[in-house]
Amino acid sequence: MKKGQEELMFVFSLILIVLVLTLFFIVVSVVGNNRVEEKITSMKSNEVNIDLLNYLKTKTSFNDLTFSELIAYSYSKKDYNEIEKLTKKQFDKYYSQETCNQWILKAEVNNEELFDSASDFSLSSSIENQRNPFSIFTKKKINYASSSAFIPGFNSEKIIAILILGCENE
Amino acid sequence: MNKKGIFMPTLAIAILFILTYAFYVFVVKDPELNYEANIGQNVIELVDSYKKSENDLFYNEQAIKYSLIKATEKFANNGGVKEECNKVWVLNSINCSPNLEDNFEEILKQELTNYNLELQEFSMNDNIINIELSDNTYSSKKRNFEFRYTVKHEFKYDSLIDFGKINALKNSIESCPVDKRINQCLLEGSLEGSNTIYFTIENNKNTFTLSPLPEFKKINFKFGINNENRGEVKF
Repeated sequence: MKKGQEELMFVFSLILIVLVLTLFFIVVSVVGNNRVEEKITSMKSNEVNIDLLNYLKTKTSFNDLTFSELIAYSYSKKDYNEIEKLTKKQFDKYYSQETCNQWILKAEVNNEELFDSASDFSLSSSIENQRNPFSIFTKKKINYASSSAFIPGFNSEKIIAILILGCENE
Repeated sequence: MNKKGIFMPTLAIAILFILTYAFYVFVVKDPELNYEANIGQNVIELVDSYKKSENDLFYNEQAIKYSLIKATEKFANNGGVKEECNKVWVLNSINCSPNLEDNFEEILKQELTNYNLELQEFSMNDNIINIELSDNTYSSKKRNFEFRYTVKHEFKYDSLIDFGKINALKNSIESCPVDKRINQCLLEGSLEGSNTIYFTIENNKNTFTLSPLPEFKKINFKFGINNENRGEVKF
């Protein structure tokens, strides 16, 4: 092989090595990114579920009924004023001092919403805040977790209670 | 071709081969590596099962409570016997015998079926009602991980009516000699009509009831017994 050909071969081989290594790292990083560990959001969801069950088991000032019984009672009477009022009072008291001060509690039967009660700082406005370009300076990020539980109605209906909780992360 | 000239192409081909082989071995050949990367998957399944079991327990607890309320109202309205007996007890008869616990259990079984629940065990002790449903099992089987989580569905409730008092009355009626009229043995009954004496056991507490509509009221248990034809009493 002539000296000129050898140098040409050297350059091509070097380019090939660089190309192969680059391609390899690209493939590995792409595949690796697909395998990034999952966030264990289930843990947070489980905490929300405990909050939801505690809420449903809590006795209200309405004739000593629990919240789950009051939901079933309100559904049978088709009057949700009392449950909305007492739910708001309960959750505002419980969550106001916490970092998780955004919440929505709603109930549904066969995908038909019965009522919902929410914190004054609604989830929709906080989602808008996240999209706000100035929000990058605040360093605040709100994580949402939700949980649901079935509660029986008086006539064996299956009412679903859903709690969505928004917590600030600094 | 001299050695110097062949070194770089050989190195390039060797690197290409080694990296291709490494990619094949670690990525293509062993797809289960993806499984290994799912950190916390097993814990998530375990936590989800626990969550589901807690929710099921809560649902069943409430469903039994409502079934008990409805069963108690029906039982009290029927005077502890079947509806066709018109609240009148006939001791040791086939249909109108006051087998209080059995009759109550029968009504409760029917009420529970409305919630797709099946009664496994039922017992009553000092106005405490013990109810047992079938156990719920939550399980998962995966590579290197398997769990089976069984939850017992046993519940205790206070009775809404005083079974102790009703049973005491029943024992007094049964022990009343046949040659005596019931109102000679027991003073608390009131004669209604020609020959039937009625007893009322009042629950002085306002109870949350469901029939016909949800409301708060006192559940009263009233039954009657014929003064002369009270049934065959064995002593």
